[in-house]
Amino acid sequence: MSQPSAPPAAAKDAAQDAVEEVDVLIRIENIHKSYLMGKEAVPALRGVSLAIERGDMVCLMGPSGSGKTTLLNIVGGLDEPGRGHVTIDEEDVVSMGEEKLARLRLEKIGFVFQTFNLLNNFTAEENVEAPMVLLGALSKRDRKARAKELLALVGLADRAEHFPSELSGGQQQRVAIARALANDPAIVIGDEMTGDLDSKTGFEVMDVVRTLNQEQGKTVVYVTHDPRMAAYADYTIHLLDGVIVARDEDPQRALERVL
Amino acid sequence: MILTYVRRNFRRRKVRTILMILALIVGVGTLVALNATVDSYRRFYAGTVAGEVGDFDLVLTRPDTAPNPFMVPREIIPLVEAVPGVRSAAPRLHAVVSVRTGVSERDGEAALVALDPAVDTAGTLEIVDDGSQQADEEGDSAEGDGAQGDGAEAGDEAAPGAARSRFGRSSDEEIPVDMEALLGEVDGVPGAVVLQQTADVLGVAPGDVIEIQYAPPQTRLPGQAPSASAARRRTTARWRVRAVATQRGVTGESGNEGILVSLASAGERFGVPGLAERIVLDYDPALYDARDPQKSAFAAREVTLLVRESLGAEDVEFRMPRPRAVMDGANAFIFFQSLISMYGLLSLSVVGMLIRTMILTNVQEQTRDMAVLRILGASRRFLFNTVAAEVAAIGAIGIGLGIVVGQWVNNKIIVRFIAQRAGDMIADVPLVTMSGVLLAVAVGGLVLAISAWAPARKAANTKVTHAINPGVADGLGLDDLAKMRERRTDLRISRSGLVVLTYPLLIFFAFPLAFDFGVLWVLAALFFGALLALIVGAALLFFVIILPFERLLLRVQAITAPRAGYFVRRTVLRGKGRNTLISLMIVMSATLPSFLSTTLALEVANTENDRRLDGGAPLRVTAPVSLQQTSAGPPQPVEQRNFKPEVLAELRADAGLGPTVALAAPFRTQASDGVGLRDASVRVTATDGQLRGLLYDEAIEIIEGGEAALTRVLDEPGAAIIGAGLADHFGASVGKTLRLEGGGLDHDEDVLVVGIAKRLGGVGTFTAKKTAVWGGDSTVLLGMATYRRLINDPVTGPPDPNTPIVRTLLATPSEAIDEEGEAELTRDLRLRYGTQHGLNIDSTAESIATVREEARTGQMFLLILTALTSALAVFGVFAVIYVSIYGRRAEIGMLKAMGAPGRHLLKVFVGEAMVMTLAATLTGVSAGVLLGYMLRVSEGFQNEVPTAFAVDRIVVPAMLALMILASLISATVATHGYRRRRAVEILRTL
Repeated sequence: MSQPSAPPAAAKDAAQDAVEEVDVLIRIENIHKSYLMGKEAVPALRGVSLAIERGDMVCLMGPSGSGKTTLLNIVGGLDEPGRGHVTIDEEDVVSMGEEKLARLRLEKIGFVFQTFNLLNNFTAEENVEAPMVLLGALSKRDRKARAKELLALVGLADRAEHFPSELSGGQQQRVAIARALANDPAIVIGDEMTGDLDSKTGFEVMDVVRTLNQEQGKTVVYVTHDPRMAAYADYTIHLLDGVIVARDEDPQRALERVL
Repeated sequence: MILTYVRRNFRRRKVRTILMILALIVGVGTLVALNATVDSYRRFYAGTVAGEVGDFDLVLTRPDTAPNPFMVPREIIPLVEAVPGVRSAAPRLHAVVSVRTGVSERDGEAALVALDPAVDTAGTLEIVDDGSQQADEEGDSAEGDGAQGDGAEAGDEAAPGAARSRFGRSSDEEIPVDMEALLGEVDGVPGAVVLQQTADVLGVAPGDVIEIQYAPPQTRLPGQAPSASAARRRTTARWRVRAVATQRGVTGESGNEGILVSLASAGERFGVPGLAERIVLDYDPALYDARDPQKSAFAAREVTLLVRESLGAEDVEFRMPRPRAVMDGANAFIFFQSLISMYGLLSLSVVGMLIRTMILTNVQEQTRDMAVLRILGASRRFLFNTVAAEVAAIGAIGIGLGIVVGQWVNNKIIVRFIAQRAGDMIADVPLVTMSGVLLAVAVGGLVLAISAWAPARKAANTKVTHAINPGVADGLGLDDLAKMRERRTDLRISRSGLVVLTYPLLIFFAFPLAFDFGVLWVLAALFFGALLALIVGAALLFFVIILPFERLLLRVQAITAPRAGYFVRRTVLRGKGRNTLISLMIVMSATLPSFLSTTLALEVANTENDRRLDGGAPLRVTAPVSLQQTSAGPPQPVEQRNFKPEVLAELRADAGLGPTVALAAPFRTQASDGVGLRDASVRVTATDGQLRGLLYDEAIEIIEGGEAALTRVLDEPGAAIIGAGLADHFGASVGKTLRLEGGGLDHDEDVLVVGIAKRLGGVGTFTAKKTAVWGGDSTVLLGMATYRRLINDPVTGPPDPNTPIVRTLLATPSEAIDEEGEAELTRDLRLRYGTQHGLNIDSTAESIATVREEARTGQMFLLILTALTSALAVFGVFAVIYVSIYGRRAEIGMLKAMGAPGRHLLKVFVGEAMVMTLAATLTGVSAGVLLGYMLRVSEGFQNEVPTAFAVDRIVVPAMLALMILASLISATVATHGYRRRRAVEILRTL
């Protein structure tokens, strides 16, 4: 894991600078979040602010308990902050009800998890189709065509009829990526996407994600422990004890340093 | 440590624990309640029997060969009452007497029961009319009749129109009739209670005076017939009617015919003071507590044997009406008990399945913990005991509470339901017995033990690898490979052999042994086993159609809720093995009630046709069920069992009746081809009128000889109509002759076959079945003249045309009588001819109504049982849904993360539950309905009757509704938590 490149004060300044950018897709302001552990409230995020521009590929890094997954979940609309504001595409996420939030996720956010979370009784193609069915915007024929197209995009055109149990871990994760793209979301959220994969497969998956980011302009926010995977991001946000401690804006250099 | 582990497990898995306990409560409660139902029905049955044959266990009478027909109660009763098991003994005079009412047209015969109201408490009596109403109207104090006044007083406390009161074994709420007062003397005239039907026939009411003429029983010398010319001393005395009543179990007859007077008044007036014709004994009711009716009857017989011993040289005859009836009715009870056991077993199987699934899930969840315990040094036995202790704790709570709930259901619902049905027959419906509780504990414990075995074994076999490297723990290890290489006995082959052997074992050993030795419990077990095998077999056979049903329901869902349907379809059709067990349980649970309800529905639908085909005509009067047959006397000569010509003439002239046809008493004889090749036992009867037009059209089926045969048999001497089976047996056709053995010595009559019939309903057995021929049941129909010639001994001269030969009169109501009028006509005929002439009047319409009424009661009973089993199925469905949802948390979390709203998840899981349960229920219903039809069609084929289509409209729809409700509730409750939780919260628990 890379060390923080700047003291906390400097990181704060950097984050403040980022907020000033135009075409911000995700805006997070002074987020606080605590969890109850028994009778004690344990803070997970302490006044985090962040602005992610459309088309960014952002990596969140930090040790266990630093708050990176909590931040990712808040960015993805899966969790709500205790305090602070979150807007996605100018929409206030915090004030949204559960149903509206679900709709937002369905239309604008795709998720990729460490454990893939594919539907076991669904084929690869059906897994990709599932979000489209939930949205109900496409006809059956269009759904199938798009699912095939997305599977082809992740290099699994020939595995469309396979069930998850018939696929390798890497293939399953690529199906999960295709599924995340099903409703053409603006944001792709990845939580330890390569955590359960070997290095080679991990790089393959990250190549796919990077391609999506570069060619389709998807905004990607992901968490990883692996600096080699973090190197794929445009920049990396480092968290420690619930605050952003650094923003590494030269991933290429970071990659070179690691390699 | 185990206890701590169990306690923490309970706390951590509250829902699951509560669910298991609830299922056990319902399961054990059902078992306790069903068991109590069997017990209650057994009493109910004994109560019914008591109402039909008398509420006493032993009747002592003098044989008619005894020099003195009377017994001396003061000598006999102390002896018999000293016998253990005898509760009481009471003397009676019981005879057929002539009654004069003052209006000669109303005079007739009636059964007189003279009893001692102080000691004779057999049966129950309800006062219908004690004259109090009239007395009130007249402002008269019942003519100074103290007894009547007492009766009126008692009556005033009862609701208007309700039964006034009773005596004997009455419930506490009822006010006992003061029989001593009612039958006591006032102004030198003793009182009498006249039973309803006799009062109607004689036209008497409270206040009337009746004159009773009594003749002591006739005796005869041993080996000699009673002398017809012997003069019998007749004594006449007067009684005043104090009340008109209905009875159950007092007289020993099922109807309400007879006159009750006090033994003291009858003895004094008839010149037989202190004497009795019979002594009725009441035994300790505990004798009937045995579940096996035969055992109960034998226990009663042991008491009777002691009574016989105590009587020493007394010349008495013994009759045991109640024990005998209880024993004779054992088959019906066995069926009932088997049915109840079947329901109990199915119910507890569902509970067992649920507990097994839940505990298995617990063990799966704790695999890592158990592996850690193993690393720390816990033995396999310790892990096994941990699971066993958990199940035992759940069992202790569930079974304990289940017994309480079962007792409550029994006391508050079932006992009331049965008591309501039984009416006055039983006032002491038993509460839950200790044996019932012990049985529930034993069976519940067994079910728990079986359910816990697999999870406990799984826990005991936990590998330490589960804690070290879970990814490879379930893979094959070296030990496993070594085991796989070993050659082992393949028990599956042996099991197949056992299955194949079952059929021959049953046919060659079990059935012959059980039937030969008539061991009731073995017969019951075989019957139960057969019923179980039928249901399980049908359920297994039909399980194959569950998938088409699922597809059908999925199609419906795809149309009604396409988005949810997309997900449901894939889960339901691809969830291999997941729901098989519970689906099978639902199929079985649905098969039994569907089978029974379809059978009932078919019975109801076909009753009319069956009864019409069987009875032949709307009314059937048979002669005679003589009053004299109720007393212990010699058998009557054949002529006396036939219609007296004047009674027949009076009946045929009755204004309420339309056309009638008389049938001669069946004459058993041998038929042969006359050349010694073939013969057969037959029953010969004769008709004196045209059957076409009188019998229902469908009740006549002539396959050869045409309609003309019905006329020829009347007109042509020696003409006969025979059954198709008999014709086949003899190879006879129309125009051939048959030889019938006549009533005389070396007396044969040749008859000409003019018609071959497959059916002549109500006339006799005309069938194509060979079994009827081999059993000697086949009927030959002749004209009256030919019949007389056949039964008459030619040596005694030509047949006497006045000899009574008519045994049955088939009739139709006159055209002016409608359906309601027909019922009234039947009642009227019964009152006029049933009581006075001992004729038996059967109405086809009435028997149809009776069967339908019984079917309705049966449906209600089935509905209760189905509701109980369905309540358990709800738990089964809930368990499956709960476990399924638990196992699919990742899927739920992912769907929620993806943006699936809570209502979508609800739709998906409700849809899954509905498809699964409904498909299984529909499969069970299909199996049950088809079984029901197979049974009916095969019966119809056997009885050569058609089958009318019928569908049960109560039980099956109720069952489907309950299943829909079950799946709806189960899915809603089971998903409730997940629907409310955020995606991350769900995913975090993985």
